[in-house]
Amino acid sequence: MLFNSYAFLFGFLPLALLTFYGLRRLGGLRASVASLTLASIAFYAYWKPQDTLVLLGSILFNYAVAAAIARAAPGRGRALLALGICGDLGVLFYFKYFNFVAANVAAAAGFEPALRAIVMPIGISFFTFTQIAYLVDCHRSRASERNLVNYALFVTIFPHLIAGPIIHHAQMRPQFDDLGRKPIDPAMIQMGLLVFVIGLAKKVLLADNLVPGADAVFDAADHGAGAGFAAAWVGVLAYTLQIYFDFSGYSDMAIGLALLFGLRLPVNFDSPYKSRSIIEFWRRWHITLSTWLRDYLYIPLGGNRHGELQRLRNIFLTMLLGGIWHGAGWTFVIWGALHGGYIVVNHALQRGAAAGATGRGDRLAGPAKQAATLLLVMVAWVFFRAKTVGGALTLLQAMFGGGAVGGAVGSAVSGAAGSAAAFAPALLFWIVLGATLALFAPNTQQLARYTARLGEPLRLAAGPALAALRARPPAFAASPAVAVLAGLVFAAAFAQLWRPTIFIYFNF
Amino acid sequence: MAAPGLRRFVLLFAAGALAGVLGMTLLPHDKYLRYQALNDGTAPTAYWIYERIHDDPAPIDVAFIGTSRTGLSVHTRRLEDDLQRLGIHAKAANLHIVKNGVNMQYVVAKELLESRPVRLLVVEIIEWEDRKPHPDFIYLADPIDILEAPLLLNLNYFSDLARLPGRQVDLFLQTQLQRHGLRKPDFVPPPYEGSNLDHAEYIQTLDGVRHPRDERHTAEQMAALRAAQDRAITPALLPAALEQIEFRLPRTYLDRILELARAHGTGVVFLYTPRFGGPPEPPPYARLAGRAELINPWPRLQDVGLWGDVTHLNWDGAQRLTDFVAAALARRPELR
Repeated sequence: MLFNSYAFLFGFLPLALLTFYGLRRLGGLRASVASLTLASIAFYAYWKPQDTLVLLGSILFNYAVAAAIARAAPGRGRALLALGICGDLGVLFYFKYFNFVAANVAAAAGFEPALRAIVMPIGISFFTFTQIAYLVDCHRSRASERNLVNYALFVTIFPHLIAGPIIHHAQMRPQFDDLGRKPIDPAMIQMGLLVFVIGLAKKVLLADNLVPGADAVFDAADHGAGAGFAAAWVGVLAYTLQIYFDFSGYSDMAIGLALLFGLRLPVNFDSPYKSRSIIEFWRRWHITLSTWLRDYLYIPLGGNRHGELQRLRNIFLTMLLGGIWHGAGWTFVIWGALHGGYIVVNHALQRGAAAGATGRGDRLAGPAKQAATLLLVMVAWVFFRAKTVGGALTLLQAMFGGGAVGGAVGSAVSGAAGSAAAFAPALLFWIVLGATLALFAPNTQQLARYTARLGEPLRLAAGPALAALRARPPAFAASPAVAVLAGLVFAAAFAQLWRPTIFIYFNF
Repeated sequence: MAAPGLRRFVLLFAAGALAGVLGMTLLPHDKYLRYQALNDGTAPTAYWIYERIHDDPAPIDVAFIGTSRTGLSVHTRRLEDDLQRLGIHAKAANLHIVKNGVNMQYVVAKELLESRPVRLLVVEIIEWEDRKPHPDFIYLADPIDILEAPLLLNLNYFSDLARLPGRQVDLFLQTQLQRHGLRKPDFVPPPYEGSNLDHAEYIQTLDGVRHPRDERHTAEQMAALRAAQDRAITPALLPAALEQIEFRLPRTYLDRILELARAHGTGVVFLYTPRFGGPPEPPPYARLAGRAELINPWPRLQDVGLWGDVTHLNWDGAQRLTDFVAAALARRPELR
């Protein structure tokens, strides 16, 4: 079920909220937690009921392995952990990578690949990573969740189930306990509503309006059409903004939805296109994945414990595997390798600057660093979005290798295709608006004053709406004007919901 | 449950959302764009219907509304010639829209009757009542018709209602942007195809290719096609006593069409466009007898060679039906 669908907004969500708060009102605090678990499983089953078996099987497997790890005698825990991780990765490999590997092995060996009709269960990458992290944490702490309902809720809680943010048991467990004991602060619900609407607007009003421009250019390039300079840049810029507003919009919606149920999810985006280095970009982009990769891949690979060369190798490998996590295809491998390379060079430049060398990166002014970072990110997005390496190279050649201003791809953008992409001025409008917001506007957590840190209060800004917007950083106040404005934005998004589009990260 | 501050915030949010939705729904636009948007990509008729009603000075004395059964069965130029031979000068227009759904026929009838005088409205009636609304109602209907659509057992009511603000915004933007040269039209209709757009003899698709309507089937093939169609039709689900509820949607719209015609002083006749092997009389007419005459060509359409498929006549059948209809219309006082 998509967050941006009638079925979710006017069916599932009201029903889940009514059940949850109805039970709480009747005194069934723990029952409300169980209702959220059931709602989350129903949410997943709505997509494709048979995939629920994979999800539930994965939950039971990891719950059992974690319990065994917690009880294991010293020395046996590691073997159980390896078993659990291998089991998780085995399932992930089968659904996500089997055909890719089989096809490449067959091609290398010169025989016909025996491909299988495998359809990847949605969200499998996310719930697998969530549970691998859980197993590792159990091994480290020698403790596991004993309550199966709580564990199932931790894995399945519907706001994050399909595309993150990736959560940690240590962060969610105390919140589940609180849900079963304490009333929910109404301020969380107020903030949740606002954050959800911001996310919905990002997805429906911004990201989806950039799709025609990006699709026209990338699809044409993938089909072998020559690209023009301007069209290639417009298409890549459109995709750069689309993926940001799509994924950060989804993450905002997830955070907003969790708040409606009294839960805090980790922040996943922090204005990444304002970054002035690639290292900073990865601290601001898909933060929960970056953190996961650091904690459960980079550090186990050795981290920075064996010298600078090993550290750079580990960084590169981590990013490469991060790329492969996104999908089975050479374009994702190249995307991961590019970012790995970027970060390695970034570290080398930083090291050079710290040593007093004439590091070029360090001499650049802030805006120039930001522009250079964005440019590198855009180049990598070309591989991420293109379906073929050839298509990506075509676009990069058009962007940097000269060529006609229009070209075949250009005509797709400017209207010859006669599709929604026909309106080039509209596309440019959305690009300018999106770029302005991504580069200069405060982000959702700043506007809503949201923090994922437990114990810190969650309150929208106080006072008049305009005064809060003029503050540094600007914020939305809990004022009537903001409530009405949020309602109007919701209405604008609602008007676009009749053609719901999937979130980009649902594919991963 | 909710704190006063939260309750107020949520109420204001809902008020803002409602105001936004209402505001978008009231946005004006060029209605012609609606009729261009209903485009199946092969041989759409909606844009021509709009042009015929609004831009063609030729009168519409006899208007046919219905589905593809009417569209492929009534050849208006032949009908006009037949009537001429019978001493009646009348211009006819076949304003059919493909697919079942009486609500769409109401939309076309309303657009027609509120725009120009019509002497006689010929309304298609078939051997069964389709309880479902037309799937493309949202494309052509006025906002008020979407709001006032029957709610009970109308499977599309809420989806049409939910889609309305977005449609209005899209059409408003298209109107404004095209007016200022900032957007190319999504669909450019071909040059006006004249006062008669007939699909009975051949169908000319948008690519300019003419597809003659000379299909034929053997009796065995038609029996198989009929069996396949039977399987696709859901019989009445509710007991006979609740029939009025189950078929409320098509009946409401037929009533609205009759009321609309009465209000505009337009005569109405029903034209039975049976399927091959269908009943001699359309059962739905039992409810309507006395409200309008039924033209029933069934006895003349029993030869399998007249049928292109189980629900559509081929050109031979269409000629026979058209001649029969012309003879029946010639007796109508509205055309005398």
